[in-house]
Amino acid sequence: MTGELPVLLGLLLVAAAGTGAVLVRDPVRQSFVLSLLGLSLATLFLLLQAPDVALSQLAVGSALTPLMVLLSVRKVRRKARSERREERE
Amino acid sequence: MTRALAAGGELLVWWAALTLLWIMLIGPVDTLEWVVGAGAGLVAAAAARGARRAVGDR
Amino acid sequence: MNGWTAAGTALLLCGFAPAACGVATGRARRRVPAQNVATTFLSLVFLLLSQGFARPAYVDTALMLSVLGPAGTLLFVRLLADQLADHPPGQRWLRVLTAVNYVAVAAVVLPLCVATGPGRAMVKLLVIGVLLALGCRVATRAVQAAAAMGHGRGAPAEGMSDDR
Repeated sequence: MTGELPVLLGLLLVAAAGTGAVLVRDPVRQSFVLSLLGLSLATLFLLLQAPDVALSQLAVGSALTPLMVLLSVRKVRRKARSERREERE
Repeated sequence: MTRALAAGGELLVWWAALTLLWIMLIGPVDTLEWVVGAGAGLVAAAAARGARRAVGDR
Repeated sequence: MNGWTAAGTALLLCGFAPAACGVATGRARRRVPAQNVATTFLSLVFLLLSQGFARPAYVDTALMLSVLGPAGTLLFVRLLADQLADHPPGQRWLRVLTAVNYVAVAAVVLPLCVATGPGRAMVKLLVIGVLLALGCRVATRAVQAAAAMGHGRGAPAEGMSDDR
């Protein structure tokens, strides 16, 4: 039983992070939780003895996914702001 | 002339340090690892020198 | 399950999980330092698990996280600079978190070095420890700089502050 404890903990972390990513609505906050989800998945892969998969998951999930989400949010909001400014003029 | 020497010297120092770092971070070491490490170290040394100049000459 | 695996699991439960809660809730002033703490602790967990499962391949994962974690924190600081300027994190709180980071890194890396014995593996562990400590310092300084800058740099980060 104690041998399975780390894997169980990893699964719980992934479940919690996934649920959190679904429950958070604002994209900026969601990018943080997505980064957490990536880290939890990497932990789970490591615990299931797949370190190479964990490496790829870290490379993608911890920095790249939040970067893409935040850049898209910034572009969309900046465009909306400039359109609102044009409407006012 | 001295500027070229200084640039070459800095590049050499970075290359030696990064190749050493490569050798430290890998598993079993043989000739192929030295060759690959030296090549990667050369590329990274150029990048490191560029980064240092970009930060330092501000 | 040996002592190292138990220590890794304990750090995962008592270190990474609370930091993850800090990342998932609250304002930017809590999330960004918590993200730094979370990635540092997770890298230390990977180091402990590598020793516990006797698989040196896991150390590479810790090495990658020691570089990507601070990079991610710097990214968040850059893109959320105006939120951090509006509600800056407390100075004392930041200092406490940084101290916790440093203590945790020393408390994990040094026993692991002793257990590994002299050689290239120990140098690799020390490199990871130094990278983690440097990453903490760089991230904390970036957060403090962003908080102190105020609204001077509105142009790069505008559009992100539609947040409660």
